[in-house]
Amino acid sequence: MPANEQVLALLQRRGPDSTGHVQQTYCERPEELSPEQGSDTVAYLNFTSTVLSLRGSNTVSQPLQDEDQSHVLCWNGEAWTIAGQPTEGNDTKAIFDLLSNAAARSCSTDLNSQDAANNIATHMASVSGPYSFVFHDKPSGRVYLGRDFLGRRSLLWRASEAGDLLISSVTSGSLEGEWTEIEADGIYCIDLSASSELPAGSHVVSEPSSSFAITKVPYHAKTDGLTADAPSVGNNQPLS
Amino acid sequence: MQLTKDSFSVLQLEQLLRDSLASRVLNIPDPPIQPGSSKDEGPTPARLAILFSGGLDCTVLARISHALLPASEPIDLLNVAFQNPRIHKASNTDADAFEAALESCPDRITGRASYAELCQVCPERQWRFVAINVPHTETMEHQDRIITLMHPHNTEMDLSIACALYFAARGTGMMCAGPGLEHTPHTTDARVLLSGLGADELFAGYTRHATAYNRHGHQGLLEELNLDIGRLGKRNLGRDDRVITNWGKEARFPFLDERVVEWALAAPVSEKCDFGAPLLDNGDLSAQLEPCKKVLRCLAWRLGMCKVASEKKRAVCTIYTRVTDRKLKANTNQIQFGARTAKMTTSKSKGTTPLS
Repeated sequence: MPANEQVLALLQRRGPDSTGHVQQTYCERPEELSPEQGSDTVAYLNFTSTVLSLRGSNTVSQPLQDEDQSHVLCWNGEAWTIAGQPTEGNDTKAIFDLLSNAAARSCSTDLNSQDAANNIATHMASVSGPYSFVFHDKPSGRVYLGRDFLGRRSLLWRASEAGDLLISSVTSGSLEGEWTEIEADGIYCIDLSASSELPAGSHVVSEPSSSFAITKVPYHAKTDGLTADAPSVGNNQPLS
Repeated sequence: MQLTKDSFSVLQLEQLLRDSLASRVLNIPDPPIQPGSSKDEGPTPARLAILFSGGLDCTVLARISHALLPASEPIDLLNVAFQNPRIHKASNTDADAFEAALESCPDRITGRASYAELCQVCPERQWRFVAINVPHTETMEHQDRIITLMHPHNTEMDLSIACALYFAARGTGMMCAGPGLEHTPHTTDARVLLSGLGADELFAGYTRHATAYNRHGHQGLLEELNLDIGRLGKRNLGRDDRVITNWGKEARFPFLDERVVEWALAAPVSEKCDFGAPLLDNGDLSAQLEPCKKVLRCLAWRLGMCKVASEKKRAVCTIYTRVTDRKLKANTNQIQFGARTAKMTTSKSKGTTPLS
């Protein structure tokens, strides 16, 4: 069985209740080109989610996206509370709203990638519960991903020889190359835009070495009682 | 001062665990009907199962879940034991010897004991002990798949822990639906599995915590606990997620709830365990419980589970004791579920050795 089919089969064992695919492209139109001259496709994005439905009365299929397809969410988690409020009904929708609203605000105020990632991290810090997630904000050409600060859910990545970036909850083993667990140490941001410059002070992630710039908003300890050299256990709080 | 069942920190922990469990065990949807069975046949499907070694941590979770869930809901307790041909020499020859060999595994013995206490303290609940007996041939059959699932984790130790979680989560075994009842074949319907993971790190449950105190006093204990807490996020939860969820089930960790962790981090060490505390002689027997994980022991006592509260810290993994590698010793502490699973094939390799 080809590796990606094997991964799909394993994903379907994890989530027997639904399987969904979403395909998107990320395009850029260089400023010197007029609209008639078209645009450059910079990246192809393929999202696959399978769902084990344990929240709410019916299964919410994933990847979840809005009507104009400007945001896509793959959510593997349980948001017990958001900003201290118990999540009623299905949490996938609640997280989708939380992130797409945050991304829309970043977009309207034209935040640079560092500030936009900080904004996403701040919103995720309000979520209590285990999770890993991948969220695509199409207007800004950024993909955010991460795991809760205790790493209660799996998420791995690997760069192919061609520079493609693969991200998955489970893998087909080492046959196609080694995967790395994404550390549960922050919110990661993949910048799809080839032209974007990273602001100074960005926390650049060099592995896996794909065609994209990856930065991180590290978690830090929230409890005041911990000293500076104490282990960095926090409540998914972004570095302030 | 020694902790007792009435200490404030014990009451605090009880409330925090109740809240944590309420999120995790209430409002679980009905599991789908398994293929080949009809709604009217067989036992009532359980919504909730517990990865049940019979140890203090998972038994406290079972006891508090009981307080939260309607008495009509059965709870499946999943207890796994592995046939190890190196130890269970006669167990291949007949079924009785196989059965006897697996019933002698440490986790099976504590599992049965804590099961009996749960049934005694909460008789109105249908507790179902699922004895998951894994023949060596079956372990071998599934090994490649387990290795794929746990990738990039790749050591003997990873494999032994992953095996335990894999077969426990599958949930297929011989079910006992009450004290003295016959065992019948059963696969749990529950898609939510509770795990007691995290309690040892938060409340000083490992033997090395006691060792650190004995050698270096409170400072040593604090340093050891700080190390553990720092490692919490690097625990192998990703690996465990990949292995368990393979069965279309989800593990939940009530001790790793944000508020429980936050409280445990902020609480002075004397409110969690009481190594070296002056003896309190006010006639409260809970004061005399072992110092490690004392706050949790006192909570178990408070909830009527006096036997499990008094459980001795057992050797974590008997099979590994002959290995002297220091690094490995630290790692053996990570096994708290499915202890006797490791190392069934090669006798000399170390737990941290990558699989070849």
